Amino acid sequence: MTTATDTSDVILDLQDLRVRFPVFGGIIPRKTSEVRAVDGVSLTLRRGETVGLVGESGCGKTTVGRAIVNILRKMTYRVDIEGRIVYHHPSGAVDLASLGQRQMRRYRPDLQMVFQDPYSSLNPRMTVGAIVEEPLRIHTRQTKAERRDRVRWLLEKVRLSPEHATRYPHEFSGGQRQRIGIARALATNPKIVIADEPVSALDVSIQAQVINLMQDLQEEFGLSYIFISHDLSVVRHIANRICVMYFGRIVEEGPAEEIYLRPQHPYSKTLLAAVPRPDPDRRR
Amino acid sequence: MTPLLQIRGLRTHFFTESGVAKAVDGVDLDIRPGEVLGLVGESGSGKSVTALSILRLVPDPPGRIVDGEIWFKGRNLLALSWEEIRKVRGREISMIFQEPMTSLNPVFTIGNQVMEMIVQHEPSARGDVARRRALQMLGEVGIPEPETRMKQYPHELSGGMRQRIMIAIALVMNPALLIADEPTTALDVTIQAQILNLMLELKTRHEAGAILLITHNLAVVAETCDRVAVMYGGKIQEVAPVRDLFRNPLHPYTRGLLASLPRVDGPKAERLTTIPGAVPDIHMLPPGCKFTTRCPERFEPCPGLEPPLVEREPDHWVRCHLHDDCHGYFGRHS
Amino acid sequence: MTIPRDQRNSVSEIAARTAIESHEAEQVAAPLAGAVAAAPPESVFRRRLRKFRRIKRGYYSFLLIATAYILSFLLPLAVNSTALVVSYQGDYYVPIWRYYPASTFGQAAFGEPDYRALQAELAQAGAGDWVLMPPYPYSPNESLLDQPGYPPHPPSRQHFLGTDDRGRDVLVRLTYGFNVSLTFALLVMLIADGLGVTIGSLLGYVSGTLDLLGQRVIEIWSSLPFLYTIIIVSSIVVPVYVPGRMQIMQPSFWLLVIILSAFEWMGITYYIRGEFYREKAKDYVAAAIVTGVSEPAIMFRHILPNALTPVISFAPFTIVANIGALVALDFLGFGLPAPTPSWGELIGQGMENLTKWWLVFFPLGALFTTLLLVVFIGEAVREAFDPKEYSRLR
Ligand SMILES: Nc1ncnc2c1ncn2[C@@H]1O[C@H](COP(=O)(O)OP(=O)(O)O)[C@@H](O)[C@H]1O
Ligand SMILES: Nc1ncnc2c1ncn2[C@@H]1O[C@H](COP(=O)(O)OP(=O)(O)O)[C@@H](O)[C@H]1O
Ligand SMILES: [Mg+2]
Ligand SMILES: [Mg+2]
Repeated sequence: MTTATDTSDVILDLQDLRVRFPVFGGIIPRKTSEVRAVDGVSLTLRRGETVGLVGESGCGKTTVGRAIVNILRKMTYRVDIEGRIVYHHPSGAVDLASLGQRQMRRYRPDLQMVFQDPYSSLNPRMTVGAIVEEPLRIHTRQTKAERRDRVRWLLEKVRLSPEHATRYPHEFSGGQRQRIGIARALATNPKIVIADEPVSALDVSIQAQVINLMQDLQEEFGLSYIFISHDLSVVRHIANRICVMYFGRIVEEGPAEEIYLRPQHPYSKTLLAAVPRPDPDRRR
Repeated sequence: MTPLLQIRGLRTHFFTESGVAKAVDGVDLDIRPGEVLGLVGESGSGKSVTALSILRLVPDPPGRIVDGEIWFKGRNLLALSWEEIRKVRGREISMIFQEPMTSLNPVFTIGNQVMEMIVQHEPSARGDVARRRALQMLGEVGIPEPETRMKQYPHELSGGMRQRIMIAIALVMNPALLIADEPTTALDVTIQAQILNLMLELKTRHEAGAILLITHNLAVVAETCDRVAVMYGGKIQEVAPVRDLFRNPLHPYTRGLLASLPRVDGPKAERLTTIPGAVPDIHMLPPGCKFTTRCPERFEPCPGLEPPLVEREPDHWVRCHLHDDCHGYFGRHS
Repeated sequence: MTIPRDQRNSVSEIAARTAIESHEAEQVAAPLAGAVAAAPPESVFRRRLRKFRRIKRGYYSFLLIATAYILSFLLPLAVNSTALVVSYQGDYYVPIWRYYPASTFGQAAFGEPDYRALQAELAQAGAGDWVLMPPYPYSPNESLLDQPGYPPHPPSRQHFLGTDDRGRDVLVRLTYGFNVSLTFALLVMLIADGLGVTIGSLLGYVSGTLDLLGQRVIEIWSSLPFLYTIIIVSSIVVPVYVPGRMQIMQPSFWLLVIILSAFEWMGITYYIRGEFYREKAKDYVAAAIVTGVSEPAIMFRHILPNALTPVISFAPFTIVANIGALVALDFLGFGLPAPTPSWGELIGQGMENLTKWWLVFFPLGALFTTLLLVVFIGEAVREAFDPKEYSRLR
């Protein structure tokens, strides 16, 4: 929870975020009910820290992530957003939730996102180079040659070969595609990266590669992560603090190890107990 | 103990635009009566195709079972007529799939679909008899108010409920073998735990039944299976009782998989261990050991020579040159 | 809790025994999945093209139709009653290029000279003058009444496929009709698809109220009866006959194109709208928004190329439908104005003269063959665009 003492360190501060999707029905469509996807979420993210957001599917994790990067209003026809998303920019704090798309543009380079599905998150018609270059074309005044050099540099950073820039996404495996997505997110030197289940679609051996890569990049670039996952074991390896979400609310929040060793909320306990352990002595 | 099902030299290939995909390329596997056998491996290793081959459900074209035998109760399933294999499906061997959304027919009620299974295999069990058995089965898989659920349609139920219905349909004829292909992958962990418990509970109730549990999740295997087969590149790489496999993995691939598992218990690793590279394209598998391209312990014979599957310890089989004392001399499986 | 550095990777027994040191392991760069790394990069479209080429029946049908269509624009050079070159009293004339009155060549007639007669005349005179006629020297609208008996004439040495009931050469009319039919079909498709894609993209992308209104308008529009509209419009707008070689320039041709397009764009609109809804929900669009890509760029550069699949895979079938529609309208008499060489009109003649087998057989044969070839193309396109084969999911 936010305390008055160490706000200098805080980079992102969600205050009582609520997101509702109205449901329309009837012949002349009108609102018949609503989905309360996020129902009062408060959390703080400090510089260089990773906050893990865990919970079962449908509990609102993705919606929180999308609210932070302010794309909900553009992706959905009708959505009601309440509460504040305070981003501590060097020039002062702004409430992202209140910004329109135009005003948001200024902060876009600082807040990037990595997506879950390695297959649909890259435009199949664009080359890898064009995908990674796009943020540079929008947010920098670099020349073509400068941009190309930066793309090559970024691809190397995510441990792909610079030659891969001319290829198309379908020529890559799932793990490689996720790294392309990470390179795209890093292109504009972001401060905060929202990673929405970045490894959930990958095989275990590939999961480990991507997690390690994300940790290295965090150290190198001083990134702050919000790492969303339904898999408690994955989150444990990357998060400093963990928020357990249930039906649109955060039911428990604390240092990572604390949650695993001494879960307090009954739901956290159930969730943790249900995670299978690779230990044949703990049989069902 | 005579195995319930014996797979010998199974090869299932896909003849596609980009060449022949040897999805399953020489699988030998036994399933013993009453056991839960886990089949693990990364995606694309051929687990599902192995399962589909057992019931001859491989989509043809482009797929075809090109070689092998599958012995079940004294019959070679691969030699049966279509009429005979149809009688095996559901009644003696049944299967549940990953997607609880798409494996039920959306236009029929739950009751209809459970009863359909009964009537198909026992035309005499009409009307009331089938209805009562369906009801009882729905009760057994833990569906509350089975009377009401019988009249509902699949979309009215949650994913976990639908998977329960699938299990009810699969088990209503009391098959000797249940093949479950990633039955919990699409479900939340809490639901996954319930479904796995249910499957094990039902198995104890129906004595002789065996389960082939296909999954990519080693932790699920550890908690539910008696024996484990590890698959990679269309071949079985290691088979062992579950404790042996986790305590003493012999194949470098198995070791890599176990090491890269993130865990919720025990001390936290600063960095996760990884297996380098990615699963190679199915068309570009090396002629020798399939794991050569990613193996940290490869040596001269590996790329060119296929190691045989040898029984290294009692009941612990492995396909690796490290454990093949006279490598090169057992050309039997290559 | 801190773990000594040298033990970090050996938390569990298993990890200790694995000789893989994680960091080093990742440096072993993963080779490209999929094709051989040396193979050139291949876009989705190229890949589909390659696949299309490999489906022989469809690909050859495509080559055949495309070549025939392109060549059909050169028809006046090969099938025409106007001479290519005339050498007359020491001067050279190029009638195919310029119009000369009959009097130029000393013929006592108004309008176009009769070059076939001129050729015979000059050859007989033997003064070294000559006429170079196209290989098949008859025009589509020319009534050849110099034959013995009454038209229609059966196939003969001069008229390979016979003549119709007005004495016009059937082969000539079929070849010109091929060009007219395909041009018509392509134009209708172009206009209808252009309209459909634009409207569909807007409805699908903007969604909300615009989509709601747009759909209602389309529903009302599509309940207009097509045939009545054609009949009413063609009875109000009297076709203006402009003499000249290119029949296509007649306003009623364009009128038909526009009316048919006006009834055809709705289908593709629904498809594109649906595609936009589906694509819009995909993560690459979310990524584009997060990146700050402008609205038009998201719509046209990101979504549109991914939404065009139905347009391309339906194109051959649209062409089939359009050719069929024109034939049907011509057959009913609401199509292209009278002398235009059209397949529908010829088929109509066949109906009225069932005993004249060449009037039944050849027009229907030409129609059938063309449609069959286009259907083959369509089949191959659909096959090539089927993502099933290389989907790596699952
Ligand atoms: N665009 C939307 N319109 C309507 N409901 C939505 C929309 N997006 C998400 N929801 C609903 O909000 C809830 C939370 O969804 P989501 O944030 O995707 O959950 P999670 O990522 O935790 O699985 C779900 O019940 C979902 O159905
Ligand atoms: N319908 C199909 N058409 C072509 N190839 C297929 C098909 N189904 C499976 N394959 C091939 O078989 C391989 C193994 O697939 P599968 O058994 O589904 O793997 P998994 O172990 O993930 O279940 C895949 O790599 C794929 O190339
Ligand atoms: Mg989500
Ligand atoms: Mg599978």
